[in-house]
Amino acid sequence: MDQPTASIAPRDASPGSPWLLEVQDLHVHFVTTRGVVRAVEGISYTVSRGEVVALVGESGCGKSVSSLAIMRLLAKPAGRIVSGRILFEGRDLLELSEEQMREIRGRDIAMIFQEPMTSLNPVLTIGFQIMEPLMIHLAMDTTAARKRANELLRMVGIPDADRRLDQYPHQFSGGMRQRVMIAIGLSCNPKLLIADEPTTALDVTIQAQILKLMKDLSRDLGIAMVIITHNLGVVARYADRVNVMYAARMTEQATARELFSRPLHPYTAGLLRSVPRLDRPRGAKLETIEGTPPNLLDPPEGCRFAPRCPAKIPESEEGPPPMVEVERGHYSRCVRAFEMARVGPEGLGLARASRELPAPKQIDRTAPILSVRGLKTYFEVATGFKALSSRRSVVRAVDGLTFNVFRGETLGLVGESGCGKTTVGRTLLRLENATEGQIAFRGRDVTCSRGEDLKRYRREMQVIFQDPYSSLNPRMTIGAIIAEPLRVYKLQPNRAAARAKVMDLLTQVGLFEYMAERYPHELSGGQRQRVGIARALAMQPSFIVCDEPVSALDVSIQAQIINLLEELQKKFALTYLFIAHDLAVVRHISDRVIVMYLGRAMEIAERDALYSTPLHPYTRALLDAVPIPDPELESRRAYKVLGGEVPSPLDPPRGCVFHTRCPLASEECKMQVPELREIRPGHYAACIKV
Amino acid sequence: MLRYMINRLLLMLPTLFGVAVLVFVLLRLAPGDPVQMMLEGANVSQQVVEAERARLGLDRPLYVQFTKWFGALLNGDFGVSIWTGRPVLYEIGIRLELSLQVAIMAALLAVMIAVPLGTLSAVFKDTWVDHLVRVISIAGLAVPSFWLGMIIILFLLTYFSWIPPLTFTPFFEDPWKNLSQLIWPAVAVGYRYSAVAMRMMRSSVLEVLQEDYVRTARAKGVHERLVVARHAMRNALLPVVTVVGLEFAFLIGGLVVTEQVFNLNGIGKLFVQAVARGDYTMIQGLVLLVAVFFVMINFAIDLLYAFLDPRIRYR
Repeated sequence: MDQPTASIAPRDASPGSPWLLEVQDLHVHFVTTRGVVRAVEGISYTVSRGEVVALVGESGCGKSVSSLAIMRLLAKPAGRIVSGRILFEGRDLLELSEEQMREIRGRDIAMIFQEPMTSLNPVLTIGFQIMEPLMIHLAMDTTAARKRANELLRMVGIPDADRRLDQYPHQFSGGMRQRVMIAIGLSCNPKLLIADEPTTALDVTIQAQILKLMKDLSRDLGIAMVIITHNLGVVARYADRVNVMYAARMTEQATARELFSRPLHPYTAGLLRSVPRLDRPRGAKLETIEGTPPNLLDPPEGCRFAPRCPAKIPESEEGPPPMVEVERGHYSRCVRAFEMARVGPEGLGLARASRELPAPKQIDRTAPILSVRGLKTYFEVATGFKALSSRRSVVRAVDGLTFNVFRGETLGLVGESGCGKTTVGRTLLRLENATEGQIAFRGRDVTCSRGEDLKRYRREMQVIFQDPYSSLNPRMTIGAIIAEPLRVYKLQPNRAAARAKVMDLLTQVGLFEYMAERYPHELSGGQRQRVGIARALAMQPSFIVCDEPVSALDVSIQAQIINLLEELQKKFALTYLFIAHDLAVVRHISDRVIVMYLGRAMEIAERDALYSTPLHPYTRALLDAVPIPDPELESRRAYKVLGGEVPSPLDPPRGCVFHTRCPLASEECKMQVPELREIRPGHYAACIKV
Repeated sequence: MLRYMINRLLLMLPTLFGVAVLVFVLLRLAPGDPVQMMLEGANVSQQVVEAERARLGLDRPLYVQFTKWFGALLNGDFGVSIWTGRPVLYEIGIRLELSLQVAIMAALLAVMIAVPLGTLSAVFKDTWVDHLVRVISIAGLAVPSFWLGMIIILFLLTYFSWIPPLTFTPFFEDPWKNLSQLIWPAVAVGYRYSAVAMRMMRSSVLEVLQEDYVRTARAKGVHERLVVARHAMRNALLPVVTVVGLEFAFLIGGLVVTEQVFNLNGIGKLFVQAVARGDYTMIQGLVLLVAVFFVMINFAIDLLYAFLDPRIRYR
């Protein structure tokens, strides 16, 4: 760490309050055309100096709103802080003038946001954006500010700082931009750093880098942090204390260790159980929390979680339960909290994650249903000024991929963004054309088929897309969306039959018949993804490409969709290609897994073999990077953070594409492209070192 | 960057050639014969008409006429006006200064009004400031500029018993006299012009204020005024630049009505006369001129874009 950093002292603390930040009974309302949304209802929490506190909850629970409220940056005029106090070093921030508040922002409290791609101003240099708070709050001149900006960039691990300062945000990768955001946040040496989902938009290896950086800096500089996240693994790895929010209220507060080992609220218990985990054997089914979070325009009277709670009793619905201190420092807002502390979650009828093993699947290993040989998909992109430039470069999105998929199995395809996994799916669906190689479906070459052949193939091969918010046509009813393939392929003799089929499909995916008349925006994210599944099923396909089907969904909803996919697979003898970046989800659902990096397969193996004895250094690094939702385990884990970033597919490294980041790399690795070799039966790795 | 500029400039040539062909052919497809019109009422024999036609080369096949005209064009010769017999470039030249000055003044006025008012309107959305600005801009769109022009003249006449000078004085000869004549048409045209840009600026600033980087700037403790001026406005200007630029190109040819109202002898008036007289060479010359302006301004907009947005500069 650079020493000069210490030269900027945090402003003198006013004595009196033991807490750095104390949020007391905060209420935030949003005025909308449909009524008043009570986004935050009476939350209280504290942060001590130098402490890392997490605020956890699903989307819409009010965690981000409450943090913006601390900065008094709520969208005006819709968002209003109705009551409560926010004491920062004993001063109530809500009583300060706008000008006094402005002096605190960026100086004493800094904030980092979720989207590094849009959080920096595209028309100003990185240097200026880092220097700006220094010039405002510390009245530095340009020279001093630039010197400090240079230091900061080096501190957050950006090489070549002096040159980088004059560049613009679009010249930085997502991970690098988040580092810049951290540099801006730390510039004036604040006392509190609020990080709102700081790594959600990043890949796991980059996530691990950024979180480690934040944690190290916070420890070295003594900066307290509030991390807002939905990722329980992140909480377990980094937080000292945890606050769980649900539907605008605080539901549970405890130290991280307490909370993960002995949750005292049924919601927390359910949340912890519905996450697929890398450290536990796969159960038959993921535990789920049934239902969806309540609408905050009209929330339930009593406990907000009661409608979804398997342990609810009549008292739960009678009025909002108070927050009680069940054990020292462990608070829960549940009428049965003391009971739960005594008898444990099982005693309340909250089942433990099932230990039974999944029933063996019917996988026909004789002949592959889909066979891919040497698949390459290249894209031409114009570099320089587009229109006339004759210089075209080639993005090697998929660069020589060979694999088989057997009937009835789920083949997982994992990798970081830009590794080409989505392109593989799109090429198989013939939404992109293969540049080279062969795709055979049921023994028939479909790489270049057209017309009727292609149509027949597409009937068999369907897709579920990632984003249920943008992949459904907003102007079509749910019924029409599901019926469209039936109409195009004339699968049903008449309208009545088609309608009956739509109703049947809706029930199959766990929706209700009345929803056929609804439009996509009237449904929740999970329900929309169910519609996407129903649409794919309408064709009665034998093969479905699932392209990140759960990554846009909240944890509790994610588990529901995964279970549904597995159920349907069994029922209709489906084969899945499951594309995802979440290693734990892939592990849960897949029979075999391919790990991709820069368009190439690094490792292909049976699921258990891959996760228990990964051979390729990249796979090992990926598994290391995933935080496990268990603070005990995390504190003992000796994980290594993989440095560097994924190189541009426009100019991939020579030899092994992974050698630039590989801890084992030697000169040899730069010389030759490693072949995918069968190291153990059915376990392939593309590395000369194994 | 330089290569890009050269490329862009070269691309203009086919565009301009297309315009030349199109205007040439369309003019001759339209009904009305310039020679007939010219000699109307002169009671001359058919022989004289034919002779005049032959003198102007109008009896030759189309492609021959075109090749001759276009060949001369490549040498910078736009031909002579069928009606006045003076070179087209000369006729345009003596009027261009006036029209160009009015257009530039109108554009400057428009930007000077639209950018600050549009920004204010967005920043104070749904307050009286916003309402006022929106009324101003809606009125600008609704009021025809010739009407506004007449009102201005009437106003000056009734309250000051004064009308703007009728003859054009170049700016550098006598700026005061020049401006006292041309500022009025510039206001009449510029007001409408600013209305479009104002609305654009308002919605653009509103959009940019929602951006994540504006929130970042606020979270850094930047003064709200600087958040708007430094972080929001430059990003918000991009779409406004396009509108202002394209409108400017329209202005060059579009001063027709306003020049009539203020009795200015500019390009617009020349255009009207040329069309009424079926003055082929003059119309061709004028249309080409407007096309050149249009293309050049588009080019200028692209360069301005690159200046405002580094993402374009480096792509």
